[in-house]
Amino acid sequence: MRNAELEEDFPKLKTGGYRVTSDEDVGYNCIAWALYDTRQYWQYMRGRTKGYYWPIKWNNTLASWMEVFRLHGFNPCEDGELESDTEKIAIYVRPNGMPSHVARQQESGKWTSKLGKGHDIEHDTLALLEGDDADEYGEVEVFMKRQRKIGSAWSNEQTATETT
Amino acid sequence: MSAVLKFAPTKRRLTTPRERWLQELINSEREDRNREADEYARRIADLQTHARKLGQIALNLQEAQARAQVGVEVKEKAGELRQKFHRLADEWRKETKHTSSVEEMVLHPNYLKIIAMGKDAIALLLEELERKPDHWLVALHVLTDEDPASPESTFYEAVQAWLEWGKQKGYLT
Repeated sequence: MRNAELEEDFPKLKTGGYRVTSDEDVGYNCIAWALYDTRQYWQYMRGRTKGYYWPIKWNNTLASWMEVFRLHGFNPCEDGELESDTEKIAIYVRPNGMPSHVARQQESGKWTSKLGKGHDIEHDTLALLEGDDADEYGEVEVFMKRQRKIGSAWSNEQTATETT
Repeated sequence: MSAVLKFAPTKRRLTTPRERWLQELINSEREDRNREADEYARRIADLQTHARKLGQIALNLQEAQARAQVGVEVKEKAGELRQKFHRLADEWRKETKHTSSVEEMVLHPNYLKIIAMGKDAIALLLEELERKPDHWLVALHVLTDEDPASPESTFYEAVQAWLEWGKQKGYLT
């Protein structure tokens, strides 16, 4: 089922394959979703406002996002091609170099994304959310991968590892 | 003290019956005049009291009118503020819906304008947080210099802590 509001903010969805897979929810974001966490909003907070979770003490940069995924078993890889027994994520970066979004690859090869405070969607390609128009997320700059666990085993892992 | 003059009785010794008759007549007339004078004085005093009361009533009316005017202006200002807040909040919600970065959300011009509304925005933010939870926690933190959530709170737990805080402080009923 198509969603006019989504297609307005991400124009490439008009001609691409996607489906909405959840209601809107302001309580978690794309990083949380990529790591199977729908309880917490993953965000480094400079002002220390409570209600947000960030497992490291680095600020909100591409390097810190990569470190967070490294803590959860991911390592950089070349591309987003589907590989058996491998789970991949793709980090989008805006032209100013700031990370804006992360999508997770499903076993089907399609991608799943939590769009900010909005819906979760399944999308056929990463390019559907790329671009510099409207709310688009810039371009995918980093791929990372880890061994795919059976079922949702990763979702049960404890994510509260704080490092310095 | 009455402003009405009274006639004083004469002290001269009276000799003839005619003089005494005249004197009695004069005295009787004088008493009548004095009674009239007393009556006028009483009426003047009543009128003065009445005038004072009317003056006080007029003053009270003026003050009540002024208070009502101030009340209307305060109400109008509060209405305008509420209207402005909701316009800014609705636009902000729409324009930041697909960003996951709270930094981007709070640097949005509308979010900054809401913070710039100052403490008047606190009650509106809490009402909005109760009506439709969203990322107003930073604005509340900045405006109140408080943070009632526990360090391990999830987003929704922090929202709940702020709503409880709002009730305790009288911002929410």
